[in-house]
Amino acid sequence: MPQMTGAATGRVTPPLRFSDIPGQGDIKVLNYALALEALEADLYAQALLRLTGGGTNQLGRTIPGLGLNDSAPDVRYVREFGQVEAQHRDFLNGALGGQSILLSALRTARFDFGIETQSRQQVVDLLYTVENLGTQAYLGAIKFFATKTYLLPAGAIQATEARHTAVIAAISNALFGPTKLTAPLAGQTANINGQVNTAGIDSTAEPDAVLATASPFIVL
Amino acid sequence: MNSFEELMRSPLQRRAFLTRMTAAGLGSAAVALLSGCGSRSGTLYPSPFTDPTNFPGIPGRNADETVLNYALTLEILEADLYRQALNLASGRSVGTALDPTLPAGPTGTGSYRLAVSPGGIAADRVAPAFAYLVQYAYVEAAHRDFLQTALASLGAPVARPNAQGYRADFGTTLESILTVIYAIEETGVRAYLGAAGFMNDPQLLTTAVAIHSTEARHSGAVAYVLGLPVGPRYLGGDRNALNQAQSPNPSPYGENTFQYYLEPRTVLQAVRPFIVGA
Repeated sequence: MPQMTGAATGRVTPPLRFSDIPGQGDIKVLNYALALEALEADLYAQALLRLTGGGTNQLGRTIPGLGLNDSAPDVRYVREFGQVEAQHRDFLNGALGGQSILLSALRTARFDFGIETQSRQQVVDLLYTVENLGTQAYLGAIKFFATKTYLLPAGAIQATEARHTAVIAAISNALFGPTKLTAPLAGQTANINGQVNTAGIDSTAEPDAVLATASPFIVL
Repeated sequence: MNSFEELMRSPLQRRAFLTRMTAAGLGSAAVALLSGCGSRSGTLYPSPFTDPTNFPGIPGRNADETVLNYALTLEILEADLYRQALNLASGRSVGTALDPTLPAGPTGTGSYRLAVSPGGIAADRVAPAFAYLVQYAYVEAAHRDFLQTALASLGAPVARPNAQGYRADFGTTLESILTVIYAIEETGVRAYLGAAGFMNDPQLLTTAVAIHSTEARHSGAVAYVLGLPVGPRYLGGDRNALNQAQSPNPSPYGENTFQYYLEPRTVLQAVRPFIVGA
């Protein structure tokens, strides 16, 4: 593992692409999902430290706490959702066994969100962005499944990410002003694998675009 | 038919098998074994639609059309009950059509204004609760219209609304109205998740799952303003997505880790009380 001397050192460049994700067919899709869940789970862990009493992240960096407690809605749900995301990660990692990306391409991965200097609102914004992206990422990955073997649990995770996104939007609106939609509005343009849909539904995100967004947070 | 052939024919059997294999630490090997089976050129998936009795009374010439008509049947009901709920909450006659002005932005309520007591909804959540009712009413109508259009464009039979309409006991407060809406949304997300596996066309499947996660968002947000667990939450009759049992997610996974689903025939039975004359 390279020595970390600054925020940008060691980050994945160029960004990971779907072709870099190990495995074929369903294994590749599950590894892609696992990469995102590992990132999400660690983001939640760091967000909770930042919002509450502080601590140290996996990179050994000190995160000063903002001193909020569980009576704050963001703290309460960050704690709850963080446990859920860690279980998503563990489920996928267990299902993949020896083929897990956490044993290969992301074996040394740590995550740097720069959270130690972020405001409460920036932390909540980042969680919203990542959960929203996760919801869209699962949708965009469906077409890459070779079988339906994992469609049901993947869908069950995707709906969970969608719930998280909506609740974080509601909390953010209450704390910082109403700027976030809990769900797409009727008439709003969604993109389903390049096809326009205005029925008020979630969009897909292509794996390469998702990984380009995620890669700057990944330190190898 | 031996057990392996049975496994290949039924997606749910495959899942149960994989769950046992995963529990035994053999999940990856099983995935590798199955991933080469049943693929056909031109379609992403082997056809799983082996049991049309899963969708009693739902029209369709193939699995995709049947699932879309199943979804349309539920969206017609959902959109109509939302319209009624919104009329009640805003003091309009229950039969009034949805106003043509779409709500805009996170706080948008179009031409609608809250006209009933909030009930037990926390004071700081009343305005968003009403905004969600307005916004989601339009979204459910848009889901219905989309599915009708999509089915017609396929040349498929298109499910019709119940001639006698739909009914629910909404009560008289925003809280009681949204409690009915919450139950309908929670049923909707479970219905899509329990039907998606029957679909074959990747684009139609993705679109259906995108509607599914929209219902999940609605459920989560409505639960939040009502002060309920935001879920996923285990409710009676649910099946979990890991081993398909009628139980909460198996250990070590928490109740709120994976969305639950319902089988189509279970959903169709569950919504009968909302259908006048059914």
